[in-house]
Amino acid sequence: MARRKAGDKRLTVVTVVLLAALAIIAGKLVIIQGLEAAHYKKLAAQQRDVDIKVAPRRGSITDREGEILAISEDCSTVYATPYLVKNKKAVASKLAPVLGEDPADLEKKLSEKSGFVYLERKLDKTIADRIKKMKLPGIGFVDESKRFYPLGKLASQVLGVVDIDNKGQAGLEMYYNDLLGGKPGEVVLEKDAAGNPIPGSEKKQVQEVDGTDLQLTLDKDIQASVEDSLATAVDAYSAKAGTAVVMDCNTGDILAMASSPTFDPNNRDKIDPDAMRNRAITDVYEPGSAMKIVTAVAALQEGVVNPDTVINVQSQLKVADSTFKDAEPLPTRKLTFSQIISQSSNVGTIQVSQALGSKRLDEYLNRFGVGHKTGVDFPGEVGGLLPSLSAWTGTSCATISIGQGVSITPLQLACVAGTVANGGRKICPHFLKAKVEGTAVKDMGLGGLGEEILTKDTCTKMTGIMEQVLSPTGTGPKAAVNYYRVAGKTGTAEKPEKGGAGYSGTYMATFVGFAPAERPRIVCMVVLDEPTPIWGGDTAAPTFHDIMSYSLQHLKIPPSWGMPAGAQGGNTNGGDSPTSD
Amino acid sequence: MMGRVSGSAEFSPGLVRSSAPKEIMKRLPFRKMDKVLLFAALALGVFGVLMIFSATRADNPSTYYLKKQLMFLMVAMLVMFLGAAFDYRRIMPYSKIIYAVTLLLLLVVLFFPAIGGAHRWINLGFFPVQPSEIAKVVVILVMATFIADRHMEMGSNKEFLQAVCIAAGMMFFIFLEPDLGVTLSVFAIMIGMLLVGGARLKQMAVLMGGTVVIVAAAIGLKLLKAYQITRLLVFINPDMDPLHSGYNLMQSKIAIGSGQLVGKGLFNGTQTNLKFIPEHHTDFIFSVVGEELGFIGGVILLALFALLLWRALKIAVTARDSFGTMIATGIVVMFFFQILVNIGMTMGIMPITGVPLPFMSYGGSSLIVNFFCVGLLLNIGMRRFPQGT
Repeated sequence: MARRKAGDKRLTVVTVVLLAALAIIAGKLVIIQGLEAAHYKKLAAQQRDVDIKVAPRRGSITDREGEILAISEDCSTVYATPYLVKNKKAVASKLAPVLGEDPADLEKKLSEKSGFVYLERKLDKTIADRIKKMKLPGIGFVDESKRFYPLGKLASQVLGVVDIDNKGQAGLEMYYNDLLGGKPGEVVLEKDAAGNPIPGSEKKQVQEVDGTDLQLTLDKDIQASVEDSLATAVDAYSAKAGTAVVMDCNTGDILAMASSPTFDPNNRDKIDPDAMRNRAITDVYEPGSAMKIVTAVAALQEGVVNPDTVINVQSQLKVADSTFKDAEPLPTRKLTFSQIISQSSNVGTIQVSQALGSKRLDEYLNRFGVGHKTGVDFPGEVGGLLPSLSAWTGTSCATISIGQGVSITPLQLACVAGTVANGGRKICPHFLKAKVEGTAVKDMGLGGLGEEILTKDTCTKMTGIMEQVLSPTGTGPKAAVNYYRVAGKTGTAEKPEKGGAGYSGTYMATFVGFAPAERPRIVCMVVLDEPTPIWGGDTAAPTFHDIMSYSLQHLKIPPSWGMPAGAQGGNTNGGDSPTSD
Repeated sequence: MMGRVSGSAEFSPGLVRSSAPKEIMKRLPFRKMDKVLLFAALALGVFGVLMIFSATRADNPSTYYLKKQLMFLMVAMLVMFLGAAFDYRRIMPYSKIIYAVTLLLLLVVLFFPAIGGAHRWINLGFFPVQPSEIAKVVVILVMATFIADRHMEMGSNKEFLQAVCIAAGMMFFIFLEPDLGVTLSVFAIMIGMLLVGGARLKQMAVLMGGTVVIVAAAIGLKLLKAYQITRLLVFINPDMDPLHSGYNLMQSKIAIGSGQLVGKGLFNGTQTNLKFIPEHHTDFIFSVVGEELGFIGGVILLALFALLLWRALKIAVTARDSFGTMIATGIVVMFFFQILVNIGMTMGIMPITGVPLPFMSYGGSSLIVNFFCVGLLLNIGMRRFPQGT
């Protein structure tokens, strides 16, 4: 009985041990599930959840009339989960003809030791649907979108391109990427211990926000005409390249902007990076005589000269240690200021600039924003180069007054002409017209006109002078457009030696102008790189003519004469200019 | 005292054998059966089936394990009834035969093909039998007979050594399979029964010392498999290698920890369904409980086990003879050891040894043996009073 009692005592000990052990287990449970629970919960989520970004639909880009220039098309990416594909040979031979691939290659992909393998990215929706209908186990689809440019090469440098993930890489696609791109959504997918995604476990964490549709100021018809004219000119004059801008001088709306050579954004495989440059904005050049517009308006507004002021133009002029001559050797002669500009006399212009003085010339250059960016909504704009006044040498005033030793972009020059055209106000050029959200069109109110930098009187005088440029005695009669009064200025500038002082013996030909002169609507700018012949009046001017005549008609702008409705006070005068000498 | 202990003398087998089943039922003291114990065991069994289904739903077909475990549960309940139906004292005369047959089975199993590196199963075609599971209950019965025959007084070193040898013989063969989990279970059963069965503390101290020497020698002679040593090392520092040996433990802790207070809901455990938890329907079933039912589910499970052990201990104390006391003690120790080691290992307070959780882990042999043990406990409990009164 004593032993039995001892046994009972020991049973009590067993009970105590047992209870203690259960308490320890419960205690540990409290630690793991209570105190350290957050830590383990995080670990569980970390190894279980896969975050997947859901790409939103990218906004489309249209021209000012709503014509689609860039759009995202649905497409499918086809992938395989190799271990779910049982009969790899049969599946490969079924898919091969549809995907246009070698069955052996496909079979190799299907045999990879991985949970996921791409079979084809961004496949056309109709082809993907054909594969979907086959209902092959282990073959999956991801909806994606592909950027498509329905009008092909049209405005390709302006629109730019996107990368494989539909992110803007150049042009407006890049500049407005945030607007167009929308906000990606987020889906959390669970994966098992082997890393395989679990079908049906998708949970949407963040709803994606589709991109905004953008309406541009571009007019696809004018754009097409500009590209056509430019391509013809580059070809006809064997130019290396060319660029042209058409802009509404009263709003800053860019109606067309083209560069040649160009590229096809739908065929990304063979794009020459050179062809992607939107030269009107990203390239600077010495404008040459076209810069005389600035010198002339400065001299007019400062009262240094009047259009009919007669000046004794020297045969050649020595300024500091340089001697300046006109393009063709001419004897000393008497010319009105108007003739100096319309015949583009370097010596005459320099004589006037000497009277104007460096300080005032620099002030007007700055007013026009030479050396500063225009603020156009486009990535990679350059501001050009204007030496600061303190760095001007003895010849600077003379060279800059005729557009040498100063560089600007074609767009800046178009803005200079546009300011003369609109009565003296600065222009803020821009591409974006409106945001389209659903059916609502929200005008962005970009651009418009800035501060007044010239008086109306100056502009009227300057317009008259620029109209003379297109007269038979001027340098640019080939730019004249029937039934419209056109004002403009030629430029033929020798290109500076690359990376050094001096000039290279090759030329940039420019014509910049606006119409109708009596009530200007559009400004147009054409630059040809190394054309033959070299003269702006012989190459850029005819191209300007083609572009301007199309644009005026397309925009249904009333002719300056010949039609009663469009009759203006000054039209008799102007009417003489294209025909009289 | 003498009369109480030698129960076989009071028992008349002929009476039972000649009676019709109905008569047996009437005469059997079923109404004195411990219904709380029965409830706890049945609740655990059903709980187990549910958790196994939850753990294996992702498999194909999804009800494969559910159906098998349900079938095992029904067989187990039948076996439990059988374990309670006859007077437990009738086992005593057969203990030597039972012991010999079990040893033979443990020998035979070594000649069956290894599954997962261990010779644990004798395949009968329709049902693979795990002799080591049977061995656990046999050790209890044989040691109980031996100790009861000596009136729970193992004063002499010879008797003590004999009792140790009963268990050690089994352990030797089980270790050869190898099945470290069951080997350790038998060791624990032996220690518990020796303690309660009257062994002296000095004898116990010598036994423990001897065990340490043997284990050290086993490691020295490389008798332990490399993975078993690694597991012990990982137990000491589970974070040292979370993607390999410690991976199981880390995943188990993540599962239990992320279950928090109320769990992720039945069938909703991500660790379980996504197969991060290894052996989630067998050794790591508690991780599934912890993840899906949270702290509350874990505590309910522990409470059911506590209830079971409490009633079993009560039966051990109130048994009418030493044999009953010793059997109940052995069963308590066995359940207790397995619960402690299994749940402990899922939380990193015990090494990973492959001990199944009684009533919960998937597996027919284990479930049937456990319910047989419950049957024995009920048997002892309801026969604590002399018959016919």
